[in-house]
Amino acid sequence: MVVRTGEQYQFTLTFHTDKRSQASLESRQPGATVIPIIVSTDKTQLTVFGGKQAYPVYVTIGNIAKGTRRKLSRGAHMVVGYIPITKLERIGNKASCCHALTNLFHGCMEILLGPLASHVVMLQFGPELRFGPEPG
Amino acid sequence: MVDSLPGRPPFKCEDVNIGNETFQFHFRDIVHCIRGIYGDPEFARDLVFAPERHYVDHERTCQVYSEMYTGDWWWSVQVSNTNLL
Repeated sequence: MVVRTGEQYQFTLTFHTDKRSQASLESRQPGATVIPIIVSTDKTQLTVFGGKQAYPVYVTIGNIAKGTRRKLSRGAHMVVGYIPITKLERIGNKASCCHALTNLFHGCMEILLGPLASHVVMLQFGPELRFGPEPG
Repeated sequence: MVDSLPGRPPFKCEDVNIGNETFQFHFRDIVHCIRGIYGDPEFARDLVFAPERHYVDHERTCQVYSEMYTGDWWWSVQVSNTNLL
């Protein structure tokens, strides 16, 4: 998991192998390859989507070399969603407001990453969001 | 053949309820997006399908790590769990 601080966040979702089976991927599925999924957000790219301000979530894959991935002109990052921005002015308490914003982010990410649950053995995203069976 | 290639999937919308307020979340199916990138002919020459081990010498005494596919994790998942020379 790699997280950059500041306005740009990049998360590398880590796959954990099924510890109940030590057989490698190639021994179980000849010709199969790992596809590392890299999800990132960019709050500097605010846009209006659905009438409200939102910032994009991108997805790319680790099978493409980083030099190519980083070039905007190559288009290796695909927009996969737009997380809405809100000031949540109805919530007066600042701590509750921050908590609500966090819940909004995680609520959106849970919807976004949900389809991956059936494609991975184990998916971990920080200490809170987990999919798939527990290892071992 | 071009029509059968995966492209960019359409956006969907779901409501997210936070503290009595409802937000619209616009998103695409992430698996279709990944298929779209993986199946894009633009990256046909750039895709890596197998991990690699890079060394600075022929004796393989010093391993070099750069791209994700040169890391130990990818090698252990796709090739072998044991540390082979």
